[in-house]
Amino acid sequence: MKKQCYFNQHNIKHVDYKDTEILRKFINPHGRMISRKRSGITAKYQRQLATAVKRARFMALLPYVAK
Amino acid sequence: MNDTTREDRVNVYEIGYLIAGVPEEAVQGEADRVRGAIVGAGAEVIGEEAPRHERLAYTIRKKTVAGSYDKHDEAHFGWIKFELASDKVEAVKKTVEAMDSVLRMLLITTVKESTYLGKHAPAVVAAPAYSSRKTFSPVEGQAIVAEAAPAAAPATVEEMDKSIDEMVKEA
Repeated sequence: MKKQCYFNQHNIKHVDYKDTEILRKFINPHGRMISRKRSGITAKYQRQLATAVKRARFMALLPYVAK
Repeated sequence: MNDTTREDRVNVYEIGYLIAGVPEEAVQGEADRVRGAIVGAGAEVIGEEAPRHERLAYTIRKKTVAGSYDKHDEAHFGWIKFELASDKVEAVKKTVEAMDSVLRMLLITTVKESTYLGKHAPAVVAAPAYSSRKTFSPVEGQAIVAEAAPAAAPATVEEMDKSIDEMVKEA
């Protein structure tokens, strides 16, 4: 079955770097981003997510590396 | 022809900042200084959040005047969203960056409508530990990095005894 995009499902138009609880859904225990293939999100939101994660890392809200 | 040049176009910006190295009661004052610098440049504030205490994901070092480094594991994170002419934003950025209490700041261009879900964000469902073999579903639950506080730590024997005692008393 085709996976649904999390952001489309929840009607989230913009991915914000401050929403760390949402961003944490898309990073693995090492702090690395999960691929689109696994998360099922669209390319548009994957690009927004990548930017948001990088911003959150810079602000030390998310780790660059963990474990 | 549009007479609005590139320099004076009004954009929506957001400054996120970390305040550290000041006593708890002085944090709001520092946040007001950041706000003052932004409003003083002629910005119109659209939204903001007062600094809240955050445990940082990694240690940030900041060079002191003496040349040594201060290490920070905790800070207060706040943000302010505003509308400002693009030619003035650089000056605002430099002013905020230069503040001693501002450990780190991030200036981004954004949109007028609220993008921050905060407490309105779809609930995070506690999920089993991440496994590369399992099919990932962010909707049902997902892997949470090691820094995340465990949602439900296993109760200690003392805690369990205590809760049993309370239940017996009630009965």
